[in-house]
Amino acid sequence: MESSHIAIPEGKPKIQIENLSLFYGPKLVLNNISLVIPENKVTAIIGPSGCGKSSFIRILNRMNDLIPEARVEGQVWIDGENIYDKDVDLVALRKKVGMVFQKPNPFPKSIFDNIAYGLKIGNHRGQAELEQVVERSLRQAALWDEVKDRLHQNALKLSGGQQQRLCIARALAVEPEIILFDEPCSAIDPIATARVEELIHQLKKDYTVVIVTHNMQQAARVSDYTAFLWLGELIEYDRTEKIFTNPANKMTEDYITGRFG
Amino acid sequence: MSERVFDQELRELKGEIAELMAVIREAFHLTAELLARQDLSLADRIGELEKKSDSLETELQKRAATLIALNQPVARDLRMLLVSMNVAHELERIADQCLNISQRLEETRDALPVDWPPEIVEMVSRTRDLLNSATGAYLQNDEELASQAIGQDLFLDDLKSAVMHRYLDLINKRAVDPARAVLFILVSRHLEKIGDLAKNIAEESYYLIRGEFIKHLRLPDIYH
Amino acid sequence: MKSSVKKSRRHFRSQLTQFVGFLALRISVYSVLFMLLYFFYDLGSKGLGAISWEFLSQVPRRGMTEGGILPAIVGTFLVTLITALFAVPLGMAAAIYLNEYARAGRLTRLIRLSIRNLAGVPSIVYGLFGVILFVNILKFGTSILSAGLTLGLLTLPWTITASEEALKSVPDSYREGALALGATKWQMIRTNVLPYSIPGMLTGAVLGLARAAGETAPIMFTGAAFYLPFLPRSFKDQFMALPYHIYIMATQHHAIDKARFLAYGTALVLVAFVVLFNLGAILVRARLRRKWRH
Repeated sequence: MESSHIAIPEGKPKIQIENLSLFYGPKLVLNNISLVIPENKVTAIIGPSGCGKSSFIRILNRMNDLIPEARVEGQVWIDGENIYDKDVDLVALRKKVGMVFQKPNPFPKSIFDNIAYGLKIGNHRGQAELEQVVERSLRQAALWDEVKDRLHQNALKLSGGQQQRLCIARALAVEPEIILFDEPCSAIDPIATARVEELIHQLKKDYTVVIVTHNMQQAARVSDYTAFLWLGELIEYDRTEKIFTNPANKMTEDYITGRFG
Repeated sequence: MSERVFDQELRELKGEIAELMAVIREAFHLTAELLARQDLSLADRIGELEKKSDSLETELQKRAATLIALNQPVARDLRMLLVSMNVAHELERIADQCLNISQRLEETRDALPVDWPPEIVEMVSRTRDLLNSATGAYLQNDEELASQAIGQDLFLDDLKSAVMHRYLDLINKRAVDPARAVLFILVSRHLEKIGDLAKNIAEESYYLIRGEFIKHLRLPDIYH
Repeated sequence: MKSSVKKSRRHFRSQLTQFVGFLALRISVYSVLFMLLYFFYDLGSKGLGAISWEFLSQVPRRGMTEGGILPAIVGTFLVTLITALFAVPLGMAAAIYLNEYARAGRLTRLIRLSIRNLAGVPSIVYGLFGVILFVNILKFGTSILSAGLTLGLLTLPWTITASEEALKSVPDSYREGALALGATKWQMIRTNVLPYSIPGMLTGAVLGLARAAGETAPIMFTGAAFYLPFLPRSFKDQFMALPYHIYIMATQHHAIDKARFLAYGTALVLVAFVVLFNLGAILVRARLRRKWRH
């Protein structure tokens, strides 16, 4: 295998991953990965199914903790704090690192209650403030105009694309600093996909975005940096324009041009 | 790594470029013959080849645009298509230059035959080499040939300047038939232009192979 | 050669196979339905005559050949109440623990296996166990309490299993979604799992309770009395119960011909009791559903 080509991005680092390995039981899922994710940029993780990209993103808010046999080695620093230290408060971590899942997963509650969920379970706030946050989040997610007259309708009645934007709004409501997108468009139609991508563009002004996608064009469209994972290895990490015009690694080239994967 | 339908399509596109290159090489060959033998009957054939290169180029541009639209290529595939489009365009312009040379000769048929200054003879042979290197670089993905071609172009510049200065000087001194001098200057400019276009092809080929732009590099950068 | 899309012989053969298959399935459904209808018809035709206001509101008289079955109705109601109070919360709690907290391991597997096995233990064995534990060791005596708790044990495996199924039916995406927003595990369960699994849990619990209400063997030794012409005054009292009463009237009575008619009446009341119970559960569930799926 060719040696991997790892660029250190310009800009302020937000997440620094050092020698990260992930095991599911005896199975090595991610092998000794090091990379730096810059602040206020969109970083895309691409790679064929089963390459560990979803596992990778779940490292960043410790959702892998839910899998009993998962074991993590190495360090993940967010703003200089190792999130795998013993004294890390998972609740605080997950408020700081929001996540949008592959399939839109609105809770079977009203639109309002969905957005307010993160706030309600936190320190409870007044109704007026909740309303403010709900409106702000829905506006940020470009959903406000579509739902402002039916905030108390069940969220499951929204279309798939609207549901996904609702989930984005829900994540935004708790004011995270980092937002993880785990293949956010794989279950929605192309028009809805375009809207979500547009949204991701907007979000990087205020947030650090990490997006896992199996859609290479999507990575090319939305991201500033792209990491290519293959069988748990980081093969190449570089500016997206470099990856998509002139990747350094033959495997990256073969993957993005659709020769395998 | 599996062969894609797209690979087949790219190969066909490359085949068309090769065909266009063959047309251009023939046009240049005839142009060189024309200059050497000053047989104006060759001009018709050059005109035909120029028309052929025109239609081939149009065909190629359409095909490449379709391939881009339908396949959304990235990385090497994308470079291949972009480069092929540019190369086709440059090739077509070389045919134009050949046609221009034959027209210049026809315009000055009264001054013929002439003895070409040694610089122009030299230029013809160097341009041919450059053209061969540049087309070879593209067809064989040969980055060495590409660098060579880029280097060769500098000599053409110098030779053209030499012709120009010398004959402008002679015109000023009224030591030469002005019609003849103008012919020399114009032919040297056309040849230099062909060299320039061929150099562009070499640069495009270099980008295709390496993914980096070589333009504006100086010789020492290429020959380390 | 082009293939034809016209019906061929093979087509008719496969059609025939399909017809026979569906017919067999249809017959089995109809026979189940027939048996159920016949059961209700038999019970109704023989028992309806016994039902009267007196039958429902009076205590039995003259060696249970006259009067009503009020103590048995009240007894079964109270015992079922104890069973519900004991088995439903415990079953739900156990299910929540097993499904949400317990790590998948050998111990958890063993516990699950035991629960499944308990569901298969004959009810008379529960009765004997109830005598030892509740009547003798815990000294609750033969009482509504002992019988109710015994029935509670009997229903527990069903309640746990049904509750676990209900919890499993809540998509993991609700859990992940809540955790990803910074919920603690308990917050996640309380706000995003329980609300959606309670209807299923209730259904399971009611089915278990309905079955318990009709059990005879476990209460025979732990509290049910043969003949008590008065209502229980506390949970430590003995009681009459509908199923036990049917059993006595149908098999143990000295004047079996006189009593058979009353046994059918009692059976009808018990079936009505169970049906009402299920109906109530269906209503509650439908209401809960409406609340979050409007």
